[in-house]
Amino acid sequence: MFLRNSWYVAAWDHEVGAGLHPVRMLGEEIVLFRKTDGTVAALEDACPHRKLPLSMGRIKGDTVECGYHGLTFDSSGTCTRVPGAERIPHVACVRAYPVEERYGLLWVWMGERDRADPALIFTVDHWGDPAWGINRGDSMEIACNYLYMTDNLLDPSHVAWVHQSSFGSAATEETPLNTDVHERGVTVWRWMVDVEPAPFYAPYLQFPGKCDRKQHYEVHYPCHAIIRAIFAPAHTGGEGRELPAETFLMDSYNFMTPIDENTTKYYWFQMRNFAPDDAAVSAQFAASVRGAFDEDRAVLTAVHKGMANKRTPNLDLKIDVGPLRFRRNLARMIEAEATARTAAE
Amino acid sequence: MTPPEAPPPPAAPGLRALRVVAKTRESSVITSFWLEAADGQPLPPFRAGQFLTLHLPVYQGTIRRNYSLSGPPDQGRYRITVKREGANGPGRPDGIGSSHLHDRIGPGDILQAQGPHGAFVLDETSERPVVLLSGGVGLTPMVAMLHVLACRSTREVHFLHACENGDVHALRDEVRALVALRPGLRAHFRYRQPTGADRAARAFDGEGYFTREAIRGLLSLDDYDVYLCGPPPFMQAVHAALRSLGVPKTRIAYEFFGPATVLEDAAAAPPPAAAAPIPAPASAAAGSGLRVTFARSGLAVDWDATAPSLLDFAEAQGLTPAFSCRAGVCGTCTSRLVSGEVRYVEDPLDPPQEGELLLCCTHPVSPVVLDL
Repeated sequence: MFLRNSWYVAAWDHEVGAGLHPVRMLGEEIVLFRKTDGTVAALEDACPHRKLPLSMGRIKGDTVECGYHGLTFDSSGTCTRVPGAERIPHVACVRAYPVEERYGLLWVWMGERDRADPALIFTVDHWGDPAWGINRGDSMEIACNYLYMTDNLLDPSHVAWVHQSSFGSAATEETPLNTDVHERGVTVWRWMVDVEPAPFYAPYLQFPGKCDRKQHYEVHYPCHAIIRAIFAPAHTGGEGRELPAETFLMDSYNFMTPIDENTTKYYWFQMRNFAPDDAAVSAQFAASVRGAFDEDRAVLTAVHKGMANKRTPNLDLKIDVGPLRFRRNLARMIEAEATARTAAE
Repeated sequence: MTPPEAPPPPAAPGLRALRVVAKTRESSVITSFWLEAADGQPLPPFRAGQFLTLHLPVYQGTIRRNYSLSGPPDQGRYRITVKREGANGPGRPDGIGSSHLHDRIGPGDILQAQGPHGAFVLDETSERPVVLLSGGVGLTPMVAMLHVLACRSTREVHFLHACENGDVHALRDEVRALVALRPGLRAHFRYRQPTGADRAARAFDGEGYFTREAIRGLLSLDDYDVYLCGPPPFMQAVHAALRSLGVPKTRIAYEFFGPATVLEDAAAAPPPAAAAPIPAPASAAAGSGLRVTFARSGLAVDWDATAPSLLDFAEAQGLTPAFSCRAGVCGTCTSRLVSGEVRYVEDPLDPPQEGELLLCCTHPVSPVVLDL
């Protein structure tokens, strides 16, 4: 079950070069290609004649030619050529998806075309800010339903167990969580006061000694997240307080694209408020984050299998409040969308 | 909606996926659904009288509805028997759940269910004769009890059932067949307005209500275990009739279908489902003045306003209700609110049904009686 009226990441921009680039999103096959002006088009990846994927054909200028009988489609999905036919059948067309290129990512709108508003794409703070560094992200495929990933990204508690050697510390086991349900999604957060910095962050802190640490896990519908890590000198942190200049800020952006019900493509990158041009820092961050996400992947893949094959009931705990409220509200949105679609048909 | 190769979507907590394997029309308004575990494993036995809580995805979101199990309890599969309810006045079931089942659910469909659970169960340790007294679709738990009594005991059983007429009478042939299994079993069907066809077929045994006189004419003087289930007006009338015939309260176990009301004067705590007398309430401590009565435990204590929730308060009295999240999302601590009013200090993920509460996130706002 997916929310259709939303932007989803289809690829990194550099992945779509001179060739045809097939992707599967929300159970649909889509082909991406660059037009001669450099912009990207997204079409249903199936020729209406015999359903050969258009991605097995060729790019011809701003059009795609089917590799079976040469039917040709422009970026609006309109058929411009049917070799051997006197007239082009009106029904010869493929679905065209709205595409936006932003933050180095290609975003595809999976819902009703006239509702595709680029302003709805997830906002990345400090994008282009010269004081902020970025480590260009990565992606991976995870064999789990995307909602296990939104669960994970609304769950600061797992850090103490899954990422013991990196993001975790003793304080991440016991400090209670706050859950805010808002219009765009759910945020789970906590401040841990006067604690040891976690091993992964310690080398980057610009101040000595202990710290006040905030974990801020915010997921927007349907499955886009920002995880904010804040480390302030001990006793200077706290909600709503002006933080000292040496405070460490790292914003981790996480964009999930359901490939289907059982598989999810995961895209991410991080923004930080220091060492903007230090390639070594970026490389270290990229490697560490990748390592942590590999730990998540092992857990989430097994969780999906475990839940699908459970023989006894599973239970929900207090730490599941955020994830469950998120799931409930998203399910309502999906239901409402399906109802509206049925009514329109 | 889900492709066949996909595993079921991630389910809500404590839910079991059940596949509908058969749908049987029992009367003009009542339909049975036979359910098996979606994973093919045999379903665990239940206690006759218990119910399933179905989580039904309807237009308004997911709703939860309780349906008594009407089949034999140990066959590895379940049967619920559901009356199509209409929204016909305040306090009546809204019909959303039953219409969904009647109109949209059929063989092959998957239902998400919690349970079986419920404390209204047949006491199999008792050796007293049994009266199973039901009105309308309230006969469903009684049929499950009759299965057990017919096959596993030698007790005398009176299955007394009241309904409008033969058109709406469900499971008639099944009950007749069960009481024919051995001596000592007897069924009496009472129609309020029998049709001409009912008269021609001699489908019923009596006409009108189960009045005091009607019951006295059917039951000889004895010490019975009485099980009572039906709509509130039926329950109130029959309960009063039984009491006036000298049946002790402690011998009457009952379950409301629809909103729970109080059978006798509002001050009296109703008897527990198990036929055991309630000990005298503990003396009230000074405090909030809001009395919290744990009916099944025979305990009445003044609410402590510093308690985070009724769950914490119950635990402070030495009770051990089931719980998991303690935050209003898992539904494990759902309990029956026999009477009184509570307020939610945390929004529950699924609003509890009429007559129920989530202990973990409520405070009393009036004296309350809990089924604990």
